[in-house]
Parts: sequence; C-alpha cells; structure tokens
Amino acid sequence: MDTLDTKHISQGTTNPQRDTSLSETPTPPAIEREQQTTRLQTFVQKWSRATLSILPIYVALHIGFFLTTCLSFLFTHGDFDGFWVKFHELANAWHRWDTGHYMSIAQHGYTDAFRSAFFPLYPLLIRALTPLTNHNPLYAALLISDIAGFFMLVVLYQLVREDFSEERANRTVLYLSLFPTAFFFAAGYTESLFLCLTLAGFYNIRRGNWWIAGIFGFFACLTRSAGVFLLLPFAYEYLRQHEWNLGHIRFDVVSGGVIAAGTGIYALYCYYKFHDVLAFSHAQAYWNHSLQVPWYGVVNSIKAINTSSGLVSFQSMRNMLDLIPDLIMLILIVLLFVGPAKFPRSLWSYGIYAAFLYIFLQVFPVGGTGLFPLQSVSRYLLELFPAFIVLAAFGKYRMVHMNYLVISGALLFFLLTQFLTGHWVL
Amino acid sequence: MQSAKNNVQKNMIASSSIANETSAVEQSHVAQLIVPSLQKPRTVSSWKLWLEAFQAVFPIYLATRIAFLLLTYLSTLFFFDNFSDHTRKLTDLLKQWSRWDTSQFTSIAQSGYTNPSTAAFFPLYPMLEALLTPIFHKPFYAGLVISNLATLGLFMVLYRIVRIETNKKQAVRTVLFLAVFPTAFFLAAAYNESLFLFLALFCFYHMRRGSWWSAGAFGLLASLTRSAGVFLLLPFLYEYLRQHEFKLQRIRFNIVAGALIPIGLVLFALYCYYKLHDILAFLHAQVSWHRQLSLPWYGFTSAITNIQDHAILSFNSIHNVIDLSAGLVMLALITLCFVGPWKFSRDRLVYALYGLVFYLFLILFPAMGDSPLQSLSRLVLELFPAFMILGAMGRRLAFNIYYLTISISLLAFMLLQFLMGLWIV
Repeated sequence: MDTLDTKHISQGTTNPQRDTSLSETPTPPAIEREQQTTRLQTFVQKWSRATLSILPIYVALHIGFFLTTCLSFLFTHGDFDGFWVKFHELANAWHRWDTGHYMSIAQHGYTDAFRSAFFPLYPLLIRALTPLTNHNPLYAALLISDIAGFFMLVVLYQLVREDFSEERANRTVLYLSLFPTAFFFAAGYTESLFLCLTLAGFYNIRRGNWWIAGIFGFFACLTRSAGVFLLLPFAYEYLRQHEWNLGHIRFDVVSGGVIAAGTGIYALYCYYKFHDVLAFSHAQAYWNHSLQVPWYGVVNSIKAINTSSGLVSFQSMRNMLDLIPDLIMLILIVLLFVGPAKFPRSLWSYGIYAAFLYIFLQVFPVGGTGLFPLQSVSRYLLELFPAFIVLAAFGKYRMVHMNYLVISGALLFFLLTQFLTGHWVL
Repeated sequence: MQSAKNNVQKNMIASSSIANETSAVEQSHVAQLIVPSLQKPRTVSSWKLWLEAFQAVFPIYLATRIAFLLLTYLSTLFFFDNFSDHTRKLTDLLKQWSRWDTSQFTSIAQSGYTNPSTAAFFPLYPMLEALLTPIFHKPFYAGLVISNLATLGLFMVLYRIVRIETNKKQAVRTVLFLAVFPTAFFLAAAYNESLFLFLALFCFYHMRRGSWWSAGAFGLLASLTRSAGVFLLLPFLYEYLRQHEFKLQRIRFNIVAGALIPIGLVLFALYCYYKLHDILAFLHAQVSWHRQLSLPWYGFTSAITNIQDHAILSFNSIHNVIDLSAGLVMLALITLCFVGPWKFSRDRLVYALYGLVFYLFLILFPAMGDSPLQSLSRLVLELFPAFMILGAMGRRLAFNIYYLTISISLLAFMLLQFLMGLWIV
C-alpha cells in the first residue's frame, strides 16, 4: 500500500503545473534519469516535511486519548472504590457500537443482509491484519484506523499546503484533529480509512494523476457509500484541466469509471450473496435511514428539542450535539463560495465535493422514533474536509482560533469519555 | 533610580527583540506602548496598556468560560441513561459547581467561623461573598462571580507582567497555558484560588515597578485570602534590596510597606483569638484536615508507596499519580527557573524565588493517609513563575500543540469529575 502510494505520487510530481497539457516532449534518457533522482529527492523532502508537521498533533492527541481511556472508568465507579482495570484490557473500552459490526463482518462475513450497510474494505483489512495482532480483531481494527488516520493528516497537510499555504495547512490539520467527533479517527470505525483514501484520491485529482486518483477512489468507494462523491470533483477537475473543451478529453477519463467500479463490485457481491444488487442501500431501511427533503433532519431535530421534556434532557442534548455542528458546517460550506474566504473558481472542486456530500448527509436522516433525525451526523461531518480549510482561513483571527481550540478540544474529550463509558455516541 | 534605568534599557531590548516576531506596524505600536509606561511608571496613561492586556487575554477568557459552561450543560448526560426521559432544570446546572470546599466558604460567609476546623479557610474570600450576597442572593453565586472576575483580572495582570518582562506572544502563551492547565477550572469555581492569585500577581506587579506601598497593600489582601500569602514578604524584601543594589544605606522608610504583608495574617490571628480563643486556630485547624508539617520529600515517597500498594489503574493510584505528576512537573519547572535555557535572568530572580518558596510551602504540609499529596494539582496553580517558564518553552509550535492537547484532555476529565461530585478537590 505504502510503496504503491509512493510510486504514484512521485509520478505526480513530474507534473509541476496544475493545468497539465497533454503534449509531452520526448527527453533524452540521461537527463531523464538525472531528473528522476531529483524528483525522488523532492518527493522524499515534500512528504517527510508533511509528516514532521503533522506529527505533534497526531502524537499529542493519541496521548490524550490514552490518558482519557485510562481515566474513563472513574466515571462509572464511585470514589474510593476498590475497583481496578487490567492494563491489557484497556482497549476494550473502545469496543463500542459500530465497531462490533465491523468485527463481526471481519470474522464471519456478511451473514445478515442488514450488515451490508457496512462497506467491505475496512472489515477485509481487519481480517487480513487479525493474525498479526494476537488474533484480536479489535486491535486490528484500531491499528488500521490509527495508521490510516496518520496518512490522512499527511495527505491533508500536503494538499492544503500546495493549494493554499503552509500556515493554512497547519491550522486545517489542527482543526480537523480537534473536531468534537475526531476521536472516531482512532476508533474502530471507517472514518479515517475513508477520509485517507478520499484525500489521496482528491490530491491526485488536483494534480491531474487520473489513474492514481481512480485507484484511490475505487478503494474509497469500497469503504463507504459516500466514496462515489469523488466522481464530482473528478469530473470538474478533468474538464477544468482540459480547458472545458470536450475535444480534449482523452482515454484516461475512463479512470473515473474505476472510482465507480468500487461501488459496482460491492453491488455485485451483494447480488451474489443476498440476490439484491442494492442490498447495501436497502439495508439502510433497517437502520431507519430514508430519503427525505434536505431540511428534514434540521427541522425535525429542532422539533425534537422543542417537544422534549426540557433543555437539560437526553433528547435535547443529543439533538443539539448533532444539530449545532451540522449548522456550523453548513455556514462554512456557504462561506466556501461567498464571503471573504471564498475559494477561487479554479478550486471549486473542493466546494462541489463538500456541497454535494453535505446534501447527501442531510437527505438520509434517521426515521424510526423520529426523535434523533440527525443521529451520527456530527461524525459524518468529518468527511467534509473542505469546510475545515475554510475554517482555517478564519483561524487567523485569534478570537476564532482560541475559541475553536479550547471549546472543540473540550467537547472532543467529553464525547470520547461518553463513548468510552458506553453512552450513546455513534 | 539606576535600576529603574536598567529596567527601561532591558525592556527596550526586549521590545526590539519582538521586532523579529512581529510586523513593522505592530512593532511601532509596541514601542509606543511599552516605553512611556516604563519611563513614568506611576502615571495613569496606563489605561491603554490595560486595554491592550484585556484585548489580548479576552479570547482565552471567553473560550474557557464557554467551554466550562458547555461541559456543565453536557455533563448531565453522565447522569442520564441512554434514551431516558429524565430532565433537570436549567437553573440547577450551576449547582453542579457547588462541590467540596465551596460549602466551607459559603457557610463562613453566612454564619461566620463557628467551628475551629473552618479556621483553615482564610477570611477575605468568604467576606467578599457575604458582601455581595445581597446582589446575587446566595453566597455561592457571589463566590462564582468573584472568582470569575478575579480570573479575568489575574489573566490581565499576568499578561502585563510577562509582557513587560518579555514580549507579547510569550505573555499570551503564559496566560493560555495557565488557563487550560488541568485544574484551571478551580479558578472559575467558588474557591479562593483565583482571588489569591489575582492579589499576589498585583502585589508582584507593583513590586517590580517599585511601588512599594501598593505592593504591600495587595500583599496584605493576599495574606488575608490564603495562608501562603504571607510568604510574599520574601520576594518583597529581595526585590526591595535588589532595586536598592543590596546597599543597606540606601534603604528608605518605604521598606516598612513590606510589614503590611504579614498584617493580613496577624489580623486573622487576632480574630481567631477573639472568636475561637486560639491565636493559631488557622494552623491548628490543619490537623482536622490531616495535614501536618513533614519533610519535603515525605509526600512524594508516601504517594509512590501508595501507588505501589494498589493496582495502577485503580481509584487510589490514579489520584496519587495525578498529584504526584503535578508535583514533579512543577519541581522540574521551578528548577528551570534557576537553570537551563529559560531561566530567569539575575534581575528577575524574584520570580524564581517566589516559585521556590511557594513550592516548598505546598509540599511541606502533606496530608496523612492514602492521598498524601491531595489537592496539590490544584494548589500548583499559584506557582505562576512555572507558567512563565512554560510560556517561554512554548516558542516552539510543537510544544504548544502537545501542551494544549494533553492539558485540555485532562482539564475536561477533571472538570467532568468535579461537576459529577466525584473526588477532585
């Protein structure tokens, strides 16, 4: 995986201009070899600098997560209680909610149709790694998330650094890492793997490395249904880099099809297993997700707060924890197109991805009791990485920066503690 | 006078070193701000400097207040089962802050020192609570208001002090690092930490400018707030002598101002005699809190023994580890006040002296029993020179990220425990 990554991106650096022209002039082999060594050097330099830049926040956050895990049992046991936790059982506190589904798929395959809502790449990787982690699928799940979370930050840093600035890249990484639900990047969830693949795909789309982008997109589609949304920035960038001229389209446009193939392959598997090509989509009914108008979730969440027994109740607080981040993200995505921090038109691929993905998250709210329509949305919002780049622009104001760091950081560790103590955070 | 000149020169140098960090516009602004204040330390054009301090610390103040309020609101989720339809009143939320020592202060505010064991709590804070009770109905609410105003004040004074000694960015960092320290929520709780730190810092601020009478007055108030306040006398004497070049013939009458500092303690002792017929009641009360004078390392060795006797991830060990690490981290920082790349220069040694004296005082009175260092993680908030060292270390971005992230994780943990009524004292 890593070497694949390396090779492709080094090819990426061969095209320093963003708007690549397809005319290639043949170069003599000797010069080419020399160029290749310098390319390799710049490649190593570039990515090692990105790695060093994200290392402090990555390590610091994991120390914070570790400490919170050690301390979390104090919330479920009384003072001066003789209770104690065995050190090697600490990780079990992370075995919560969806993690169990991924582990079950990894161990027993798709035994029930309703689990087909969980896409296959992450459980496949868990299965592949389990023999290496003392045959404990939980360790494998956490390990994959942590590794993917690392590369996710590296790619995000490099993407923002090349398209915007170094300062902005630092802040984007910091803000994404401290988002209140960011601990899911370290949990046994698909969040970090998905965002890692999506960002790698997006980076290569921006660089015009269509085939590599296609491969990353393919794997992203195998990780979550939302992966297909990479097709939008792909199409936009492809046309933009070919000067909006249909005559310039070449065979490599087929790489877009590779992205969609990820979902296609999974659909075929679902047909083979459950005789239902759209099993993963129909499984959403089991989870009470259904297609609604985009404002359904927000409106019903406000209603649920209004009809709850009071502002200080489970129903109100859980709704607010999804509603408020959801609305803040909406504002950030709007600010991507208008206002002082709006992106230039050449960077609209970010906006298109974020806007459509945001709408996608809104149109599949949770029905059922109807009391928690935006359930899990605050976690899904992590996928909207362009919104964090917008936020990073406003981070130059100390008022925004300080408030975001302290408030979001406090909420992050609050939610993590809730998650670790088995409260309903999913 | 000579030393005052030296100070001016040094600060000119300090402000020129900022030039490397700040833009040219800001630089001229800085030069304008810093120089007049030092040439005429006692003129009142300083309101601009205080405004600057307010603007610099307000984002930090606001952010921590919002975070505390949000956690207060959300912490009730720990009391509810998933999907339960229980509800609490919005007005009851603040009551979660009424924990542990809070009730000691409010009971003194309401009915005075009725019990000898309460004499361990010094009178200024409960007096202010009683004074403001007519406005805020309950001494507890008055206490919260006092603490939070004192916090804003102490952030501003701390900013001013570090700003004068070093530069803007370091001053902001120092305040930030104090504001997100794992036990920093005690500055917002109805405890006397923030009031004490506010008064002690003001005492320092005036000491450094040679306003001895003001320094003495604030020292008096500080020693009426906490017993530790009386130790402000040592930095006072040192700084007085240093500014007079350690020459006895240069000592003037205004050294008497230093005598104001212990007067706070004396007043309280006399009151104890009058009320409880025991002039050292405040000292003897420590017995009922199981604290007694011990060798400096007793608390540490005792804590380590306690940790060894219990499983590492048990209530007992975790609490000992928390206080032990607070003690050791502070020990390292106080050592760094004297040696190493961030140490205080010779003319600023008064900060290091304060740090050392207060640190020794904190560890000389450990509690007997299973948690010998109990409350140490809270009490170290008073060691503001340690935070100045942290502020200097924070010049590296990576250090900032490590400190902020880890400290906020522990702050959230400790505040949530406190709000749930668990044992965080």
